[in-house]
Amino acid sequence: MGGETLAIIVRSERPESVYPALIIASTAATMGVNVEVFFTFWGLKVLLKGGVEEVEGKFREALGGEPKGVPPLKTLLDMARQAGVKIYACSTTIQAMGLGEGSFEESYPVVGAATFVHKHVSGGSRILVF
Amino acid sequence: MRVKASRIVDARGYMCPYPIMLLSFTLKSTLPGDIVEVKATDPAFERDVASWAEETGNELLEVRREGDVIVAYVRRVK
Repeated sequence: MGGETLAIIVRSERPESVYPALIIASTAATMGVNVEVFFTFWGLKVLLKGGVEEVEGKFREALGGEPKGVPPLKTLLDMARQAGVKIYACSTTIQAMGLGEGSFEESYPVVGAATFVHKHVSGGSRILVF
Repeated sequence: MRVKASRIVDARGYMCPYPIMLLSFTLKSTLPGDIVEVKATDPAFERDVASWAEETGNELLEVRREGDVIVAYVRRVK
């Protein structure tokens, strides 16, 4: 493929949003696609301290047990980044939720809508929303 | 056909995207021309590995089933 860009918006902390988003993101990155994932609203929880555990907990609860064959969410996130997926945090959500740098598990670039529109809408990326 | 792999990836028991991610990371750590063997039980892997190889320009030499296990050989092209 090469050169194509896939922009993914994750706006929910539900497992059915977070897992497929990261699965598609990490796989696409290994296939030569530039991938950027924007975490916004409840999706931003994934990046917060304890957020990964919270999403995994919801997944276990929904399944009534351990998910089989699925890597831990932290591993999935690490694999995505290792494959070259770029992760961004939404500035409005950070402000609305009263979050600070200390709220995050790691430091991520903070961006707003104009950056997204410039890079992906004007830039002609493919966009997926989870 | 018997292919000699320089690296073996055991992704048995893991579902998508794990087998493909492990294949990708392992292939990156090899040299062009090297062959990686992947064992997977994810039933999607047989189709996925073919799509992945086609998209990335690496060569899928062989895929076979050994019971529930899918065994694929991928040669790093570049």
